[in-house]
Amino acid sequence: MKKLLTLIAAAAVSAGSFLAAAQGRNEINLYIGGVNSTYASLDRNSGNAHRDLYSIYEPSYTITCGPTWSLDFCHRFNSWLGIGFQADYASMSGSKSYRIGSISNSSLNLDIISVLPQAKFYIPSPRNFRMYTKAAFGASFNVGNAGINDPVTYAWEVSPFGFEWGGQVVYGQAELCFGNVLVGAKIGIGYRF
Amino acid sequence: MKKIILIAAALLSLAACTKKISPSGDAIVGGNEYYSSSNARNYMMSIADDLVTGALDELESAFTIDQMGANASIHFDISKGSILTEGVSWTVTGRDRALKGMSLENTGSDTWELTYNGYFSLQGESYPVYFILKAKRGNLVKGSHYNWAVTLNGNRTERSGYACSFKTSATVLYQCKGNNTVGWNYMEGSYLLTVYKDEAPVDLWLMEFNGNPYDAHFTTGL
Repeated sequence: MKKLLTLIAAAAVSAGSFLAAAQGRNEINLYIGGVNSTYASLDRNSGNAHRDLYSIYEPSYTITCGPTWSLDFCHRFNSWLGIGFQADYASMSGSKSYRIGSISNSSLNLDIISVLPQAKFYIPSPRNFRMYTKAAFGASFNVGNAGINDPVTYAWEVSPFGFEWGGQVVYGQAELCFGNVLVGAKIGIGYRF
Repeated sequence: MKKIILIAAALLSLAACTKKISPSGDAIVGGNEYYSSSNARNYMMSIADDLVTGALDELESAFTIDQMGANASIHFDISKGSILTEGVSWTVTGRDRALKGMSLENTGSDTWELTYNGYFSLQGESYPVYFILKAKRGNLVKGSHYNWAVTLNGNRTERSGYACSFKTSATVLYQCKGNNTVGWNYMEGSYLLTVYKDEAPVDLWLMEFNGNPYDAHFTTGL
């Protein structure tokens, strides 16, 4: 993970240096966040197996989930509104097992790619601590066999509070968010041009 | 625009490198297959423990209350006379009782018929349960506990279309030993359970007890 973060930072800094000449109305941001909401909502059926028949006959799941990656682009139209899109990626893997009969373990995996048009609202704030809120709505594409029956599901995410710090061109950012893509917080780096 | 595409491509490939997308499907890993019945056995025992033992415990506590000569109880509706009298029926009314609403009817010859048609709470779920338990009292073993000869017939409806019916294939002896209360642990006889999914039978489990809790024989199959 450390290596990965170093790589991201290096990529961002190189990209930033390369394009640091200009400052404009477009932003591109890369975030890393907690686990995807789908992971939290999956029915793992991992409770006491013998208390009811569902627990016995339906498979139980052991699933791990990587962080949610989010890349967004936003064009700022005026002092308070920006419009763009975000793309999120999360990956899960694990195993499925049965508790009765001929027991077999199956591997499973699920990759979720979400694409959400978004609106970003800029809040008047100090130059070095710029606040915003965001709302996004779109679709998630579920690829894999981890118990998600619909290949496409709707996706939404709201960030009630986010802030940027650092320079006007290359900056860091953090935001709180909720929705069915990610619940919790994410941090990232951004580039404005 | 070119710059945007270049940056996006670079960052996306970086993210993609962090996780290999496995092409594997639902294949068996390791090929380690075996048949497991321990959950079925435990399920049957929990039904017996929750319902048969619970019901017999209520009956035994009714004897205690009857013996005390109480004419009112927060646990039972006992307005119809002694539970030891043939034809008399008591009802479990205690708010905190798992089998609230169960009727205990004296059918004569030291035999009671316990009928329950209500709900049973398990792990936050409330399942409809119906059963009739015919219990013939045996000898007093310890304190207020007796040995019982019982027949059981009933069913339970659970979540996601699952249900089961259960019965004893003949009279089953519930033995009380040592300091234990009445329990399935020392059961003698056969106990049959049919599993249903969406009202169709999908499995049949049979347990045969010989009085040794560690030596029950389990058979499965329709």
